[in-house]
Amino acid sequence: MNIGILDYGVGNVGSLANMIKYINHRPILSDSIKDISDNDIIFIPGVGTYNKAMNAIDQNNNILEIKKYIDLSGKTIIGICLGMQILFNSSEEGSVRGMGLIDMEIKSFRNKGVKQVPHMGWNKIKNSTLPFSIEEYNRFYFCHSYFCPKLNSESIHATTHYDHLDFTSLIFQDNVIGIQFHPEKSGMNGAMLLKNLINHIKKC
Amino acid sequence: MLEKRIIPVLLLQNRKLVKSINFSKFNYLGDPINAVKIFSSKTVDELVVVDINASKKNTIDFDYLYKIANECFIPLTYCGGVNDLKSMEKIYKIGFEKIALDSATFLNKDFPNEGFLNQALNEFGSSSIVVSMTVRKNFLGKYKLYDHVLKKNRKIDINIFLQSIIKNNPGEIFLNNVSADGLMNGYDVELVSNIASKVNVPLTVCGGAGNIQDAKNILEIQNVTGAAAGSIFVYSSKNKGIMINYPL
Repeated sequence: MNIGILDYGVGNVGSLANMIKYINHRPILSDSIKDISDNDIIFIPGVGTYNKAMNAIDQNNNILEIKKYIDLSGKTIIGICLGMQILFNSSEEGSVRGMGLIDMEIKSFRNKGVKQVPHMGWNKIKNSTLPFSIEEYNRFYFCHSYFCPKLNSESIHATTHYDHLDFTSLIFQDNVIGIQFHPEKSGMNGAMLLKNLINHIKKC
Repeated sequence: MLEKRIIPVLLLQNRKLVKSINFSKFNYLGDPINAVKIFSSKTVDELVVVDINASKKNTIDFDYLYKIANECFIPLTYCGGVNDLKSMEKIYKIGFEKIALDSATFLNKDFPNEGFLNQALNEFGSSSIVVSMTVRKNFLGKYKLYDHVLKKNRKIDINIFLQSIIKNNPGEIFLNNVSADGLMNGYDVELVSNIASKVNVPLTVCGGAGNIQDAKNILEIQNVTGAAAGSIFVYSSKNKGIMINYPL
């Protein structure tokens, strides 16, 4: 599997590239989807604010190119943390519209009455409908103030519990995958998850 | 359930790993990269890297931070000499998730200057920004904010400072107690309880841990989500034989 990373000036590209090298792939980095569209998987990282990320990703016609890319067979997009949230329609964090690849809105923990925001640290995922087991390594690093609500759809997903609510921490919608936590910063657990995920995509 | 975090703090001085007592008397420990490798392989909850010379020299050693991030598959926070957005962007890109801005950065003529904090929060989002509150007891035993470059306390009341900071919703408060630093006599529970009762963001406390139980105990206080320490992760005991370890 060939792997690309969209380096659009927002976020911790370094650590993601580092982790992907660690699991024996050679990621190709670019600020333009077009340049890396021959890869089987493209990761979209992201740290920062919603508006800034959307404005940054819009350069080089990337949004249009992402839509074209996922229409092709055998291509998968994986958004991580804020990179996942911008795959959605919109967010309570920003006024700029998201990419609209997943038909839902990202919500604010504070607006939901969560006492300590952000949700920062190590947590588990549960209710997983993932096609592989995570039992042996279920402990991942989260750091976010906004979240994807629980799903009503049949999509493959998993949830995580924080304060008084369960939110969606992982979502597969066909070939669009969103991960709220940071596998690239979750040590060997993160490495295991990414390995299994890439293997799963390979089989599809 | 979100777990509480136990966090080693590594002090860098000219690319050397050191440990301080009361923010002075630096003891040389070894190679920082080696320590980072060990902590990463033990999957510690998080690692805080502080360049203690960065503010004084007004430079950030990006090349070295890159080397550190390259060896690290766990969450990383950087602290030291950060006072502009450009540098922050570079540090995130290198692979640090969080940047701690020291309280001294916001002290302008002894009043909190929130302008830079606000800019940073707007630019990078609250989840990536920590405010490090560095405090030291004055001769009356009252805690004041401490400026480690000027090596003196500032007049501003820590509660007023805290109030003005948390209304901006930073991602975390890192309470760093200079008076307890390196002594290994335990955290100042009274100080920690006072600050913890006033925060609505994650609170990590640092300064004084003498053993891992001290860290576990301080995490029992409501709202304290992180226990950070230096000595207990780099010394084998109070005798201070050097041993990089994560005794959990």
